[in-house]
Amino acid sequence: MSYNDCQLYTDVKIWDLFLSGDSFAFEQLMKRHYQLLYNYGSRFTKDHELVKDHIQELFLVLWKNRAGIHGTAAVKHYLLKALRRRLFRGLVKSKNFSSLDENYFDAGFNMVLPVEANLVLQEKLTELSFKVRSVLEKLSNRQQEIIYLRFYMDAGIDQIAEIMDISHQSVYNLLHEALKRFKSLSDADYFTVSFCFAFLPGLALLEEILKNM
Amino acid sequence: MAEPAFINIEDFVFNPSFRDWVLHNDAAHQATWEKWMAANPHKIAVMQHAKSIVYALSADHSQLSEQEIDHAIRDILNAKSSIQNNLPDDLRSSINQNQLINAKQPARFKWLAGAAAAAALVVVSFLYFNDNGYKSPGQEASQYSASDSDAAGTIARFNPSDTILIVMLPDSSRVELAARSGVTYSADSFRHQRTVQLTGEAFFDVKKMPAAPFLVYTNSMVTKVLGTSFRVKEFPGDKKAIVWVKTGKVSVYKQKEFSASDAASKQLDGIIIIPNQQVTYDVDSRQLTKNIIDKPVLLSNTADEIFAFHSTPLKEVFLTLERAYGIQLMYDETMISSCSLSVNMGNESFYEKLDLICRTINASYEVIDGSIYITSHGCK
Repeated sequence: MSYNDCQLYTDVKIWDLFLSGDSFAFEQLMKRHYQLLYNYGSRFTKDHELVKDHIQELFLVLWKNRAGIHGTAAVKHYLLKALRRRLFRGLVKSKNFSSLDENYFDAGFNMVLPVEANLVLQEKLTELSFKVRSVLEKLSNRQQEIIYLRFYMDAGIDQIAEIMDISHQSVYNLLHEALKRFKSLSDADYFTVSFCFAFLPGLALLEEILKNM
Repeated sequence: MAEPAFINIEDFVFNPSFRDWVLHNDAAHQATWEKWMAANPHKIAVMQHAKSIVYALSADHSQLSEQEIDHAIRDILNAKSSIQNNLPDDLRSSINQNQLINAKQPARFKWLAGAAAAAALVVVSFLYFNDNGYKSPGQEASQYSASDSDAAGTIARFNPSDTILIVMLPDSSRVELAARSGVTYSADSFRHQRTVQLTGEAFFDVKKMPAAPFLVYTNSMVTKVLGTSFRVKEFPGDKKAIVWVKTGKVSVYKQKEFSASDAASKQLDGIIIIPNQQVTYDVDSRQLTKNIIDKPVLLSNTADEIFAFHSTPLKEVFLTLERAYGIQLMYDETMISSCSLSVNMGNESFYEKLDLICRTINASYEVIDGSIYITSHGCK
């Protein structure tokens, strides 16, 4: 397989080639996912070299053990979960985390907002952004991680549960709490409703469940 | 852009093109979205709301440059190619066992078969250190975590895995940490005193800075270089510690005899070794010995040296060998002045070549202090 061919292949195809021992596919696999893994990993620690070390180790272990690994339909999410587990094992051991709920995840929703050419628009957008942010900041680490995975990693509820190693029910519960907070932002009417739907994947389903309870 | 129906906020927020445009001011998407706005003026309000939500969610990611990613991937590929060579047998078997176990498991989400193996390695490394009761400055920090630092700015990197871990030092010297090995250095003082403490084995590629010697401390030795690449190995509990050189010159001291003035001096003294030589410290006799490595390799600048001789004076043959391997041959010139040699050699190792020559001219050799001493009775 040559480099150029890679562009034509899907993640799953690359994954299968990698499992069969294709070095180019392995390299391509890393190229495709390195930045995302690095982004996600650096939510857990400020030591960016440590994140790179863990990514390196993750890929090497994958390569070495490829014979025992099966095909997967969601390569990206598989890698995210594997990296998360590695980081946790390392961080828990080194920092003596007593519980995983203490500041383990910093979504970093605090980038300086870009400036719009249109100042009136800028003001409107900024006001809204800060409102949303003020809610985000009050969310727990787990809730922030769910939203982060949803937004940056295109993960659905099933995948979020899988990556974070928690039950579907827990994801729903955490989302429900988050939803309540967002609903308190009720001054912009359609914004609130649409926004909640935007964020909370499977929310319609959740509302169904709640109605029937 | 494949045209999805942009109706709700989520249609925008979860559209990668929209996200890139808003977050990264991506020029490639700029024209597309401007065109879209012109065609869909009634949807602009919804889009603006989506924009503010994307803003709110913008995270402080540090975007790696393409070079950084390429570099990281190259490191992984390099480490991958040396996995097989550097794996101690006991570790290899523990990994195989884990692989078997994983292969049999009905994988739920089929996660990482190596996770268990890696965990096993961590345990191995703990036992290893604790059993030996060995304590190095980096050990506290080395408990699994590959990195940690304390208030004094001491940075510790430990490689609990069975693969090579690349560590870049502040002066951009490169350390390839072998399995179960660790390195510590002070981030604060490294700039003016390039000193690292090593437990285990590592290959160093040191940035050349003639004014600032680079020192590697192990339990019983100090290795000092100005800028070169070399390997140091001293695991706690081992009977022998070894330093060998790939390029340049390295000097090695017993830790006990190493003084502050040795550290500061820009001279290389102590026992000096060059490529294809090694220094061994014997823990029992507490002696440093200079020797030739078991399998000398051709120096990189002589890799295409030709070993074809046709009635060539023996002295010239020896000079060719010396040049190719950088190993000094000691012999009595007058005794061999009447000898010449006709032989073609190619891929034979250094010692095979030497054996062949010595058999031909009925000579013998001895390795003493990193050089070869040849005894010949002359040729008729």
